[in-house]
Amino acid sequence: MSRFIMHILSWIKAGSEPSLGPPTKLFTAATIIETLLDLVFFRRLYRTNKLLWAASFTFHISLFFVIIRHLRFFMYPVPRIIISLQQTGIYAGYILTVFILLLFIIRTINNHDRYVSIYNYYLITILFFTGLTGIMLKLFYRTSLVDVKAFILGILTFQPETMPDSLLFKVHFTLVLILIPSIPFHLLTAPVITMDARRREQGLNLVMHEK
Amino acid sequence: MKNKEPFGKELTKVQRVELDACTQCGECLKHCPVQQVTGRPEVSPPEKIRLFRKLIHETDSLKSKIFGEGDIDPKLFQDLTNALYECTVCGACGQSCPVGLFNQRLWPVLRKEMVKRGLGPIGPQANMQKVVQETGNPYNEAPEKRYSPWFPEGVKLVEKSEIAYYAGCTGAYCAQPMVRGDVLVMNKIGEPFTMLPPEDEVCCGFPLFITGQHDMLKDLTERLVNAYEERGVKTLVCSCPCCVNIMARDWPIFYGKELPFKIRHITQFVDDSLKSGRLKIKKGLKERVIYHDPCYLSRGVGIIEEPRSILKHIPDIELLEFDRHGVDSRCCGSGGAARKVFSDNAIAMGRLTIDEAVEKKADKLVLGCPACYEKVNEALEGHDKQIKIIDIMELVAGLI
Repeated sequence: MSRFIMHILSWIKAGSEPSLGPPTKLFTAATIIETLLDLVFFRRLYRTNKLLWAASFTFHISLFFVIIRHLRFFMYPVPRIIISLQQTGIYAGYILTVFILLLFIIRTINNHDRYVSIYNYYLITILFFTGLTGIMLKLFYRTSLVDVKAFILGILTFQPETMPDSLLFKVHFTLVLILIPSIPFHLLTAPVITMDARRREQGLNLVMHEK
Repeated sequence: MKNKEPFGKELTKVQRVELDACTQCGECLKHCPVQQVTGRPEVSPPEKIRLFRKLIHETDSLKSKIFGEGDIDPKLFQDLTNALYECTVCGACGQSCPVGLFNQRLWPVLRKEMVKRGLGPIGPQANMQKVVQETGNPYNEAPEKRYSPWFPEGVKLVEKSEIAYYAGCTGAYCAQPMVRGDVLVMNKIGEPFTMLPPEDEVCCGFPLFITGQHDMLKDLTERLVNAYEERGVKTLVCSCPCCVNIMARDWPIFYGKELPFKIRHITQFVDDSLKSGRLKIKKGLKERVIYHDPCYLSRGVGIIEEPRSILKHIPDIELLEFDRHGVDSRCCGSGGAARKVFSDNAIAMGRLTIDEAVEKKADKLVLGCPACYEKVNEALEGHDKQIKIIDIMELVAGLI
């Protein structure tokens, strides 16, 4: 995480380095809008691989709503907006698990993708089983939400509570504990590069042409 | 290894962020020409980044700073060197990158890191700096023969002029019909232009830059810029995309300030002349032609419309497009100075370009780069599909 912050700071400090192209403004309205669209809708991935884009975009949106839904375990009182998104979060959980499986299949069978790191498969596997155990906890082996919340808040407030007596919850929670440190946080610098790419593309025409 | 400095010191701040931002998704592999002809992921863009990250970690991490560098597996150096130098540095991987890495600029800097440690360049490239020092060109050719075999009779140069033409080493020694075409068309436009004496028109520095050998770049740039400035040049015209790329992007950096003249690609100069009426294409051409965008011209400096505009000025011509064109164009195999070391790869890539041109039923394959011209012509020899290859100015020169 510290590396991520350091990179963001050095990128801002770097501005447009001369070897990377003509100096173009970093924060023009057009660059910001185009970059936001690139980031929110993964437009660069859409351009490259539409099937992977569909699976990846759906997965990330679902993950966002799943995280929103889970915030209720970390907050007291729970904000109204999070309560209102609970049902959406449930659907997102199903979609997330299905699309993680789809991502795995696309990665495995797509002839072009001869290069997928083992780490990528590892993350996909952890995410899939986290989603699957989450669905099972919702549908078949429900555990006391009060106990879960007391347990989580206990951790956050350094007043540990007993873990809910559910094997499936313990598995789900352990998977999340494995997942969090495995998240490649350094990839969070990707939006910075996407913004730089947009600025560079807008400046390409200025390398040999006058304004 | 001759240098023990941590890896990554040559990278700009943004390039260091780029290394971290690669998600290793592998999407770039389907756009990589080396992958298309070798199918070896171990020389792919994400693998290069993974290996380089590993070297930075081994030499510049907190652990290495506290406990010192451990013994780095020599295979790691070997694998990365091979992967970096087999690449054509065409930049298609960056163009198709879902994150947007600027690989056309990243790979040469990684090569510079290898050179600093005595790990690169490889094969015939290793002698290049010495050859440029001695002859002024990377081909070990006699400087006095730079112009004489191809310079058209009857074309008069002036000593001083606001317009100068730079032929470039690859054009002058390896793609002579191309530079001959340039001079004929410039002569027809009628504006007086100058050229440096052959022994003074030294290498622009691109082959050294692209192979990571940066020691001579400042000197070469200053020699050329000062020589053109002395001749009163305000516009320097050149047809080689690689020369144009380094002149426009890097010369100001090596020179230390803005250049005293503009850099123009020949197609910009000729297109302007056609539009202003200073040049007219008199003869028509009832043929289907397909234009190949050189990587360092389209992706590199954004010259995409001008060559097409020139071709459209030719009466009766039908202009076709490759599936991948403009900024997305596919490398013909000649880039990155890899063609001299991995010739088989370059030939195979050149044949992919020829095959697509033939499949699209083009009568002529129009090129605009001397390196492409040399290697695609070589790829045509003994190939089962045949097509007429011509440079864009060679074509225009025959029709004016």
